[in-house]
Amino acid sequence: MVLFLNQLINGLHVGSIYALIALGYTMVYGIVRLINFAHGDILMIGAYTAVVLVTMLKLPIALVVLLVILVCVLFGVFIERVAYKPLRSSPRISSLITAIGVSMLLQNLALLVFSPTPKPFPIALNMRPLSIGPLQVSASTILTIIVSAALMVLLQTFIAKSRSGKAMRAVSEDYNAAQLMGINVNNTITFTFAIGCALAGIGSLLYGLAYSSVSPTLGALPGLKAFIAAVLGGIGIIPGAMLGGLIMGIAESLTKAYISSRLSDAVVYGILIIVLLFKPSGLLGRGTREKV
Amino acid sequence: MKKRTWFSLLLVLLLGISAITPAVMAEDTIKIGGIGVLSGPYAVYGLAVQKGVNLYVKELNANGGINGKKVEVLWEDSRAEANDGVLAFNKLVDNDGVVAILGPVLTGVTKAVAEYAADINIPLITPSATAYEVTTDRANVFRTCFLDPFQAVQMARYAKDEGLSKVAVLYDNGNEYSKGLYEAFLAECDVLGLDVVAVESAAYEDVDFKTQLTNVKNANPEAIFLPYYGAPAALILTQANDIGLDVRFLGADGISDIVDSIPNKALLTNMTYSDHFSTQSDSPLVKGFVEAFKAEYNEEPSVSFSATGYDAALVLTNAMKQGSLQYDDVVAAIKATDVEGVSGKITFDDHNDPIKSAFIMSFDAEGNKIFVKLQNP
Repeated sequence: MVLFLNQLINGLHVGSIYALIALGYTMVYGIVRLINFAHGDILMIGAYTAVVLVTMLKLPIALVVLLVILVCVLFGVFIERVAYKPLRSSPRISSLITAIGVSMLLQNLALLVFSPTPKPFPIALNMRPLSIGPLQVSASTILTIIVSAALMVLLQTFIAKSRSGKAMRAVSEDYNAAQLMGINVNNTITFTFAIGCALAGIGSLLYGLAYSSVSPTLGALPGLKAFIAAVLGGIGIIPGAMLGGLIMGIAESLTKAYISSRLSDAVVYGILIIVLLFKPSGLLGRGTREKV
Repeated sequence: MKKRTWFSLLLVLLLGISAITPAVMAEDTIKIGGIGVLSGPYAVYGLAVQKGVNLYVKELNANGGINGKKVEVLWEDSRAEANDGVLAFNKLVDNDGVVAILGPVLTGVTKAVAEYAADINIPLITPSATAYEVTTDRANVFRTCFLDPFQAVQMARYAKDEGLSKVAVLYDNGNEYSKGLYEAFLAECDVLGLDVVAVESAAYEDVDFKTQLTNVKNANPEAIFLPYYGAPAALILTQANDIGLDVRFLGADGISDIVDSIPNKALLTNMTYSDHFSTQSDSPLVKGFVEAFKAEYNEEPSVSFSATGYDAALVLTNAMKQGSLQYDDVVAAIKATDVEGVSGKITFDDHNDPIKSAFIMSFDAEGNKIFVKLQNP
């Protein structure tokens, strides 16, 4: 039982990170119908920013956190303005290919600037694992789960309650009608990218704390997993991204623990296929009817 | 139509000329092909080999080269992919006309390239492919490192000597190097009567090992054997500490580059591993090598493949000094090698493997390597 609970917590840890990244995918998809493949690489940019700020400039941690988020947001907004905005009226496949291109550009840029050798993540909690009854849980796991849960609640409230959140929902529902109602669509889209990238920035710090190593391809695998989490939960739907991320993390961890680590990806992708067979729009997705 | 024919003819002529010229110009240099992983997460090994080889060749050229001819090493990146390794091999042999190959660096790539090299019997020396099969039935393929089965056996014996009785294994099931070590380690534990209480595996490029480590912790071993490369091993050590798993770790030569990847260097004091080389040796040859390496690259040869790369270049060029550059003659001369290298004395057995000892190494709390003892075959 203790072992099972421990493995569940391990799964929650990974799942929370997937969920945080998945939020960025799902928000951007919800608003511009674009799968932003470069999103995982924003994670990598965030991690390298932390490396530079702490090891070279030796800034205090609180400032580092703020600057990492800021750099991620700037990168995200810049990419949106330069790479995606000019293509907004082109076929969707063009933006998709551009997104893959941007992802490769960022990875290779990092390869050039930081070299392929992994760098140690400079921030560590240096705390003994906490004992909760018979369970031993690392400080970074607890921090990750709490921070992600708080951010998700915050985001959900923001989108449901605030004016900008309302504008985001309107643009996502009907781009042209929103424009006609006097919503500044361009700013709303940029704002969505900014929020997604801020979450990725926080994600990069939590990822770094957990896995302590930064390399140019760091974002690729979690990016892919998070994308699948977003699809699993229903892409474009925010609670869906969270649910998808957590299901994936827990399924991975339990498969590794009780079946075989070889099968963990197979089980996760198997779940995705089964869900999509029965509910093509994802777990929380609503079926859309063709308008005639 | 006619115009196009003339154009193609002209093109063929131009291509022909460009293909001929380098061969004419390269009369007085001996070209050797270098293949190694020079980019990506495993680049640290390829770059270490490259530095070792280039250092030896530089020293050799300064001392008159091979019978008056300068040696040039042309490097190609295998990007850790078997396909790219074979492409690099074909380019070096067909286009550049190299007379021998140094490398590849990683076991998987070397197996693929060795297959092609064996077809034309070109001499090939890998400084670092440690899997047994690499040289099997290939008279022209040699190496200057010891083998996976050998180092796994030595680590199992070391565990026994240290009085450990319950061990666990965590290995990478997507990596041939890791699997080979794991199998040899398990077999030797059986022979020595060590109790293997848990065997866990992870997929290639996994970064989260907490699940497996939680299972290992549950089995309560005294030591964990980690047949991993340095970067993932650093993650494993960090995460083991995160979940409160405080045991000894045993590793193989892949651990050689762990120091730069791990933030908390104190965790390394729990790690013991087998290496090809120690900078702390008293031999004047090793001291000279370390000095020259520091002077050239402004760093210690901390990844031991710099030493085996240096030795691979030494063995190959020594064989070439016999006079002939014909493939068969060089292969025969390598086979008869008997030299003192920086990683030990090198002679080849029937299987083209060097008969060498393993350096058992550990770390202090600052992450400096400490020589523990020598394990002889």
